[in-house]
Amino acid sequence: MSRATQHGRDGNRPAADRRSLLPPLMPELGVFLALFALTATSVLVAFWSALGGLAILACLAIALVMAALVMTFFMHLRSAMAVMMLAGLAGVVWLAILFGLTMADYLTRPGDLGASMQTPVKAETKAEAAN
Amino acid sequence: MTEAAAPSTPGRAIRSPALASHFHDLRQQHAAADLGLWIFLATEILFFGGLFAAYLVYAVLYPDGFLDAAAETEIVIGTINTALLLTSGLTAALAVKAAGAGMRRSVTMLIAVTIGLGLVFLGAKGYEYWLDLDHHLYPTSPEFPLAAPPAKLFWSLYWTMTGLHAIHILVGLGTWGIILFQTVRRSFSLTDNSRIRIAGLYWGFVDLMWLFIWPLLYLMGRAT
Repeated sequence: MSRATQHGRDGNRPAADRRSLLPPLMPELGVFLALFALTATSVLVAFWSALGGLAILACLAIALVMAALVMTFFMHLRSAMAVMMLAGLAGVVWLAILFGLTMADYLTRPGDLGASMQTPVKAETKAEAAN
Repeated sequence: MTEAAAPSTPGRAIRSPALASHFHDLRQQHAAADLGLWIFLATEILFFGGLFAAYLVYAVLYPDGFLDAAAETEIVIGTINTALLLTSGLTAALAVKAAGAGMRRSVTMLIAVTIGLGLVFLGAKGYEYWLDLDHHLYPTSPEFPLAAPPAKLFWSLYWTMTGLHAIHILVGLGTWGIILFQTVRRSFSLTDNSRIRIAGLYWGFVDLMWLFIWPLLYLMGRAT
């Protein structure tokens, strides 16, 4: 039903309907209220001192839920063909590769995290020279 | 061969004037436009992704400096802007829905509201930038108020991420502006509402990016 509406094959609507100021508000309005509630939750979590610096992780988790709601309802993935979701997912997969390979480098450098910006090769050469 | 030139192919509905000749039907035409934009959005994810990756690396290397620096952003304006963008996301989604139902008056009103909300967003952003400059919160300022060197990394990312996002808002507003003009002029049939659908997708994406920029730049470092 929603697909038929979205694709503009609803030509049999009464003319009065087509002149009204707003289309049916549900489910978009409900999703919008949920997004507002999640925004408020995110702000509260951010200021919740028990979490300390890790609060950002909780906020990002909430952001993921909000993003899913926006994509499903505001970007109409709910009624879209599977190929649209695949195209979007391709972007996310490449993003995961970008994050994954970048962190695989930084997290495996010698010494404490952040103590060395040197690449492993450079650090090894230095250690050899010191010997 | 004369049959092919006839306005309607036997066994099929009469071709809509909005249907381009190289498509089988309107559904296929709409799907092609949508898919094209989703592929574009996949590249956009990676465009922003580079900045998110930079943020990830530096936040992991210098967590304390980032937490301190992030506490200096204007959280009230940032949160108001989140609310504005979510509301414009709602009006944009409803505009697409109204376009699908052939409700031209509704489409005009909803796109106008979306543009209005986007302009208020940019206004708030501009005011925020002015406050940031006033507080010397830019990395090359001789009076940069934060001691930790990584704070400058954070503020470089702040300007780049919000700047890139603001440019996307501008592009979105331009697109909506042209479509609003065309809708009022009735220069296209709502039977082919692809341009409204893909503008809605783009606007949704700009919304999405802000949903991640907002916690990273504004909510970070508040729980102390």
